[in-house]
Amino acid sequence: MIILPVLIYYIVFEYLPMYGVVIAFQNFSPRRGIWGSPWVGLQHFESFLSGIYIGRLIRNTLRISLSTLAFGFPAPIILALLMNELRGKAFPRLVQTITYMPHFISMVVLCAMIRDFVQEGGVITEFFTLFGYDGRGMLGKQDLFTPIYVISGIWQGVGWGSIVYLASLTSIDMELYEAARIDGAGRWKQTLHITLPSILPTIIIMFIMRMGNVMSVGHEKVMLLYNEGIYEKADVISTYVYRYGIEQQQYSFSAAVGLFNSVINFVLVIFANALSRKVSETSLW
Amino acid sequence: MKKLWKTWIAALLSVCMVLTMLAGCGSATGESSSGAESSAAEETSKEESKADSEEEKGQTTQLLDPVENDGNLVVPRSQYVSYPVEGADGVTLKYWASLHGNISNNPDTPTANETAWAKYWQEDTGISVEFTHPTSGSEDAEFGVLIVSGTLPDIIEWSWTSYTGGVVAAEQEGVVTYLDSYITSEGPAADLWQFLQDNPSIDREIKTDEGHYYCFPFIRGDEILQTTSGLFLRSDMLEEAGLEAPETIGDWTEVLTAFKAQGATKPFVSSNVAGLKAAFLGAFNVRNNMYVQQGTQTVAFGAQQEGYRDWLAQMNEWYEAGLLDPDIQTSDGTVQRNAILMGEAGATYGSGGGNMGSWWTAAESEPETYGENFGFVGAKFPVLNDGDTNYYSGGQYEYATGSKGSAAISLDCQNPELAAKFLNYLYSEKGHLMINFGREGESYTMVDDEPTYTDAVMQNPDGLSSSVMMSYYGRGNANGPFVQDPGYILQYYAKQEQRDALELWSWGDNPRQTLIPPVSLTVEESNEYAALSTQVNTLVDEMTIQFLTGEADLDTEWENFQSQLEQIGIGRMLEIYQAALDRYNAR
Repeated sequence: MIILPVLIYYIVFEYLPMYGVVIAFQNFSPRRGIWGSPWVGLQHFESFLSGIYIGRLIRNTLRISLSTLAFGFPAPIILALLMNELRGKAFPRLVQTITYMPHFISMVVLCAMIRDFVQEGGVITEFFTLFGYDGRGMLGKQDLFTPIYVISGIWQGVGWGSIVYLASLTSIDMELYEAARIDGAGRWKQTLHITLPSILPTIIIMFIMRMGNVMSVGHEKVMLLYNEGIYEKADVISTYVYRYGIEQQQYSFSAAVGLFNSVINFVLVIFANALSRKVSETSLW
Repeated sequence: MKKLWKTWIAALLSVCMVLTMLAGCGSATGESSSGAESSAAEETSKEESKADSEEEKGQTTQLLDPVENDGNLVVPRSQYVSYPVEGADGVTLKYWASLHGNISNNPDTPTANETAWAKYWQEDTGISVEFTHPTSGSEDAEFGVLIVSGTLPDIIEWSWTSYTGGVVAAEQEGVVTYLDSYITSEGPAADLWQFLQDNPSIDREIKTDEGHYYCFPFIRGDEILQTTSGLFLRSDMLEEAGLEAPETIGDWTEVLTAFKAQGATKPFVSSNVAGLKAAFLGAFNVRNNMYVQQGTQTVAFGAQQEGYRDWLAQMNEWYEAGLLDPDIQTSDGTVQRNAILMGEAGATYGSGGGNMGSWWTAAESEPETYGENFGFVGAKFPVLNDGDTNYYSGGQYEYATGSKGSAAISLDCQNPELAAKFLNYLYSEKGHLMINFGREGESYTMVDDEPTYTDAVMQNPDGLSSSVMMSYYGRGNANGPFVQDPGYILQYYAKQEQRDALELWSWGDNPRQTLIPPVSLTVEESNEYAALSTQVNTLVDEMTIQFLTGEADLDTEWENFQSQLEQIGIGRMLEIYQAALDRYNAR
């Protein structure tokens, strides 16, 4: 009984709206509504997949997404482990506060800061100029886009992301450490043989869930950072859909691409889950 | 041609008039007394006999003679529908419109309902309305919500040509109704009818391809209102260089080089590449995107032209020489403003009010930072050779399709005639003055036949800015279903240099010849066009910046760029627009 409100919430607000996805197969017009708009079958999927930029968009989406995964996923784990090693009270709190802070800055402000840092004469640009960089605005160079995106993403999310690992760290039985110390294990060995295996299930669950976002690089941050000159490396599916679907009011097309992404993400989650069940016996289901 | 046309109009007017009188219909023509009508009726037989003569003596009736105004716009001059309207008691029309920032910035007017012009409008017409507004900044989203939510308001102001599926879809879905039976010589929108008779080119702009009227349009009533952005330079830097405002591309190279010598790090600054296009592309006889080739009725696409290539070559030359912003691709409005104020740049492209005017005011408030001599001077859109005419820069059609200010009556409106009379008022002689300037004696006085804002507007005792007060008393400096009068802008622009710039930026009616008129695409066409144009725009934007910065080489990669355009389907896009233009010309 007590779960009923939650169940109703999910049905009403999460599952029922999903029928709206049928507009991906229509030429949706808001005034006619979902039941009145004409059906067009797979036309929007075809037009998306036959565009000349489809290869580049998928490539860029995967590059940015996988780089974020490769570098952005371990970062909070490492931070959590490091914080776990800190003794005392005041200092860990200070570190936590400082690392959380960027998470609470709005994306628009954050990106404005990034742009400031890497423009010509910006702090970061100037820093690299000391090491032989030519000093031009970094967002004007296509090869620097992914690093800027990924590194700033770590800066922004590392503190917040570490919370879940810190929480699971607190549940480790202290006696394990004691036993290890008696066996002569140092800090490093303790981390390797006790801490990591203990939080491994959390890491795996987080990883599987993260796989569900591989095809979704949000348009917001990319749009705030990119420019026409670096489309080659920065234009991703969501930004292209934004320029096409929203600016030109092609709602059905946007829905079709969204559905396409979701299907791929779904497949990736299932795949990651199956893999993990085989290898580590930890899985979502 | 003109003579013949005039004769026809005169004949048509007479016939209409005669029919009116025979029918004895005085419903919407209350200006003339019944006495005048009967005396006019006595003359009917006489008039019939000379109905085809150009010198029609129509003074005894309510219809005005046609006038010629040298091809310029004829402002609203009729007063056919009688106000205040009888029998409007107990009806309150719901009116949905975007809220202009000048209104929301005034603490006394959270909505348009509190403004003076809304009161005048309701007093004069005897019809009461209630305004509701979308949240500023999310108009598009709230318009979307509005049209899916049950009952629509009676009157909606919007940019109707951008409606998904076009005006035809809007009508089929009941969001707008056709106004053909209202916009007639004796209908509830007779004054708009007269305005359209006086300005047949506007009549064509505001119809659908099938010839239906669907809105009370926002009309930019003068050439100086149709090009309010252009090139301007720091006059103090120009003086220091000992040069005149540049007129040709060669002059510009000279001036920008001189600015660089003075220490400017980005002699010409622009908020984006689009600004560079708007500023200089026209000199190479090309417009950005779709346009009409001058002297023809052929649609062309900018990036396919040799002129576009020449423009790119010129921009690349300037870029390499350090005459443009080296970070052009990451520039924005703030960069532009700071560069101009600090003298890192000496020239830019921007608007006469929001950029030129407000930056100047900012600089004047701190002369110790920005210099005593800080000033701006406008420059014409350049040409390639001395004496050339620029057909490809600036300009706009009178019917401002991009502005969310044209009013339509929805199918849910229970009193469409009343709504039509309410809106029609703004196209009558009195309503035109009221909506642009407010009330005589309160917000303006007539000085040499020109409405001139009073101190209540220009020197507001409560310290509110003149633009806020203009929007309190009228809508002249905003938008809406009326004919915008140039009188406001000449008073709003405080500096003579700003007003001069307006004159300079306008190449007369030349640029009009190359603009795509307000055509309409069918639902299928607009879907197809949207799919193609996203890819084309991506390619063009990307290649333009790469050619400009020299990352891509014009000599080796231009051909490849062209074949990619072909491959995406630029040909089909041209076909779609050509067909739409042909339909427009056939209206």
